[in-house]
Amino acid sequence: MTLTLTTKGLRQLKHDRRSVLAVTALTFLALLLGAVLKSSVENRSQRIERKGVTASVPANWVVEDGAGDLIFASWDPFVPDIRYTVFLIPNRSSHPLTQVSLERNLALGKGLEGFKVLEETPIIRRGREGYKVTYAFIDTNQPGMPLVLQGVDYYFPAEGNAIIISLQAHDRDYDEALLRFEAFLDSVSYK
Amino acid sequence: MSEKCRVCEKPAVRNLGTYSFCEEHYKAATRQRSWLWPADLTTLLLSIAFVLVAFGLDRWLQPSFSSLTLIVLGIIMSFIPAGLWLAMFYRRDRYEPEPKVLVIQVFALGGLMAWGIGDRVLNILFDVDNWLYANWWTQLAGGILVVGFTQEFLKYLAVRASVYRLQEFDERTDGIIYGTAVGLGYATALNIDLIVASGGIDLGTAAFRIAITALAHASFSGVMGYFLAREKFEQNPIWWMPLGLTLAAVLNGAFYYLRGLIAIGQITSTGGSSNPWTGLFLAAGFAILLTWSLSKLIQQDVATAMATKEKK
Repeated sequence: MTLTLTTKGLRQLKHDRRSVLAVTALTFLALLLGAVLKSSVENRSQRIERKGVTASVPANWVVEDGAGDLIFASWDPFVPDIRYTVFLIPNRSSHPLTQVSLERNLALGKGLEGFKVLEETPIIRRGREGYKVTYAFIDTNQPGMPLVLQGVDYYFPAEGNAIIISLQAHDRDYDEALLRFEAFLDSVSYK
Repeated sequence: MSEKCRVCEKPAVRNLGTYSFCEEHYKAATRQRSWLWPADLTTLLLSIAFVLVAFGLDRWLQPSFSSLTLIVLGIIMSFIPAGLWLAMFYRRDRYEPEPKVLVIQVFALGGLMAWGIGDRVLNILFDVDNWLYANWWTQLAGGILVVGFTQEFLKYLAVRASVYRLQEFDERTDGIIYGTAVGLGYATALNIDLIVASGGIDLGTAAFRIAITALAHASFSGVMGYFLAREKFEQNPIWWMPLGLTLAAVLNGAFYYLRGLIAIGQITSTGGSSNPWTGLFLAAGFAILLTWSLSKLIQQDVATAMATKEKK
């Protein structure tokens, strides 16, 4: 009789434990599916083509056509501080990219408060030679406290022109935004 | 019969299905708290009255408070739905008392789960604000899979790890009582979090938000509590509790999706408008439907259990 009691009690205990494990496993499964959903939303992209420049930007991002050298700008509607821009500077095949970057940095320095170049270096990305400039500035146009923004410009030669692919993001979001920007950077081509 | 009672480990004298109970806990397991459904309904009506009073006073007096005063008032108001429910509970529970300290502990545990884990999982790990509202189907699917499952699992864990194994959890309705308490705790923490993060909200808006969140979370976790109680008093298949959690998570996700759908007014040339009343009525409808359904289900379960052949 004692054996029956122990066996039944043990069975109940095992059932209780299995139930808790099943609930926990289901929750993990749901969260895993949720992570896949999050990733798919974040990685879904829209292919855009403007003035011979093609690129993939996240599907839910706003794309605005530019004027002059600015081909287009794109930003996350939920985090408007994260912004991609693509410029095409024509007929610069005879100028080194450093010269193009110098001109742009001077222009940024005039227009942006507290603008400071943090690092500039020649790079080779996916076999393409280019030039990279990272910088920071202060945005005082927002309501409330001024924001520190970081930016990175990639310069590449493109069919006799220079193409500038740029990211600007709030200092707080910059590192995370940079990871995603790399996919955008690699998607940009000019024909 | 020398088996032990499922609740208190004393020698069992009666069986309900495959589980054995002592005389005291057999009576408890087959008891119904017929007052629970009217008490919940009264709490709901009082919560709506609270919104009306706060909204009316805000419109009538149009007070001008500092941010700090709004935060303090908002925090105090966040406790009102839970306070109303507890007051009803104290008033009606005189003859079949549930340890009030345990109910308050479960309420507090719900709040701690929201602050300590839920907030971090949803806002830091999943960063829901930045992708969940991309379109309608991500809002619905993400609302269920991420928000619903996270919140309902934490509430389940709070009850399962605290009162579930105690002798005080000895009635089917206890599942709903502790489920409601943990849901109100969770909702109170969410409301306080929002009010503090926003630097205070005007009293009318705060009253809507507080009542809607409290009614909704109490209802979802009431469902989870019903499944937990049946899990304790009946030998159910392994999928029983996962089914309960899924149902609560689906209700959670569907509610917030529907609320977003119907509470947001038409976008006009002058901007968007929102109608908080529809959100409140939706929450009240959810609460009435779920509380009434659970009350009926418990009556049915007890009747079925009593009809099952007992063996001495």
